Amino acid sequence: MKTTSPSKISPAISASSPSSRPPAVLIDEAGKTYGDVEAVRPLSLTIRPGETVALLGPSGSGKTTLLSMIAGELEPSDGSIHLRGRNLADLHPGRELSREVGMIHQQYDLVPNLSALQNVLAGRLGDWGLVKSVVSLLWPQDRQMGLTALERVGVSDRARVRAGLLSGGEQQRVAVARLLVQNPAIIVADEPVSSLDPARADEVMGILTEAARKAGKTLVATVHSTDVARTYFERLIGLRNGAREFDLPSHLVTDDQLNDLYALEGLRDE
Amino acid sequence: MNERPGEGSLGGRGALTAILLIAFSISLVGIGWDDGLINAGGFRAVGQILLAAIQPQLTLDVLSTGARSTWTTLTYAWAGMTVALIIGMPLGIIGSGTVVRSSWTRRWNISSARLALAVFRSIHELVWAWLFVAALGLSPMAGVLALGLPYGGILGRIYAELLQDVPESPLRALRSAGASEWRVFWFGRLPMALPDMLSYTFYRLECGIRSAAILSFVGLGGLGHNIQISLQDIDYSRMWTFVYFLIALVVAVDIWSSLVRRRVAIERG
Ligand SMILES: Nc1ncnc2c1ncn2[C@@H]1O[C@H](COP(=O)(O)OP(=O)(O)OP(=O)(O)O)[C@@H](O)[C@H]1O
Ligand SMILES: [Mg+2]
Repeated sequence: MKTTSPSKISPAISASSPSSRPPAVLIDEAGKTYGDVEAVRPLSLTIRPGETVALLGPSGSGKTTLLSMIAGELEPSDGSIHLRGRNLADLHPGRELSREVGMIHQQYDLVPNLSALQNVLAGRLGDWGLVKSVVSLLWPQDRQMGLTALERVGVSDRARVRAGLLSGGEQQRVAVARLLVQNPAIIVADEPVSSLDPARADEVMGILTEAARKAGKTLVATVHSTDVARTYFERLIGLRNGAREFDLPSHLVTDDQLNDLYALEGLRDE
Repeated sequence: MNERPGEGSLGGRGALTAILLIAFSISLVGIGWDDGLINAGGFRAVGQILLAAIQPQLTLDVLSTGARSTWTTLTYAWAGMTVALIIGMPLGIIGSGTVVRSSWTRRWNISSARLALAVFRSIHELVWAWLFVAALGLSPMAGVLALGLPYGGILGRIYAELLQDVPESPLRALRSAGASEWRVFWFGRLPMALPDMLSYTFYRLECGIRSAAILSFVGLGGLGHNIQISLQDIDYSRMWTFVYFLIALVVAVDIWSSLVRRRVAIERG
């Protein structure tokens, strides 16, 4: 089933990336409409391998929609998305897709009555056979790998605690650890810290970006706080009404641009 | 019976109540009270039975019979539940339609499994008992199957629903980590549904003990059989000894189940 033949890489993509490495994410006029609603208007976007990108924008601007399309959880209405040179539509959902991209959601996506360690090891389910998966429920397999990941996010002492008993911040770190074990090339995170208090949010965001940077992962995340975005991400993309407002290195984004991005309709100067 | 709101004024309802009351009174008069519906000695018998409740027969002989038949009843209930699990678990999983993605196969699986479960549980265990006793004679096997089939039908149906009603987001996360549907089942669905499945199974075990006692009236031995014999001998004290054994058994299972549930359940989502 594995087809990594060069023929998969369309000429358009090879042209857009003169270096040997294809872009981590290449969005080619991809958009999403729900009936009359243009959740994301067709846009093109290139993200380099290892880049950390924050999506900003008011509620309903299309951030989650765009992220879900990158994560392969939502099919674009038009256009196409390529991950590391391969068309997302051609990736086999499951194992193949999970190698390319993994997604962290806002909350509640751990299995509450499995231990933190088992939740982390669930990141291996794409590689494990069915027997190994079932055995692992009672005797966790690849234990050391899971413990190492938990250590990286600073909750290795909670490994045996059921996930449902952990605090929100701890749960979010376990989710990060699971993604580290899954080890996809691209990490996509939808408001990964919005349910945490500011101090905890900072900490988890630090852990996430640090882990991504160390492992050379590409990270695309939606963030509510512009401070967090500027502190931890190299590049900021502003979305409004499903369209891109700006796309700049984070140190070049001005306060005016941010204020304008979040301003109520009718109050904008333009 | 359902009152549609807005329909029927207060007066109308009052009239209906009056009619029902009158019908009830007429039926009271209509019953031939002297024809032995409640026999005159009935009240005395009730008194005797209640009096016997505080003086159960505690001779060594009765106690050891009680202990032995408690064991028999528990064994019947246990074996019946085992059969019920063997039937209910796979059919429940298939009937939940959660491990197959293709929609056509899925629909076929769901409906055939649910139909089988419905057939098993729509027939009462006593009826199954008659059928199996007719087919297999008065053997323990008949009792175990008579209990196992309807209970399997009930367990399977509840399992199917519990497995379906699990929060979706953890499952989605497992899928995005590359897990196939079966792996999602083992690592997400089953662990999340398990506490409820367990507590329902224990509740059913309790019911199974009562049913096993009743089935033993059919002649399969056990506590119910001894209660029946005591009643025939009009030996209420002895009957109460066996009833207390039955109560103790149910309470013991209840305590055990709450201990197990506490281990599996989760206090905080
Ligand atoms: N499944 C859907 N069906 C119809 N409309 C949808 C659907 N999902 C999203 N939308 C619409 O698309 C638009 C963008 O939604 P999206 O969830 O991407 O916004 P968002 O930027 O993530 O907002 P928030 O910051 O509140 O999470 C909204 O107008 C929303 O109502
Ligand atoms: Mg959103």
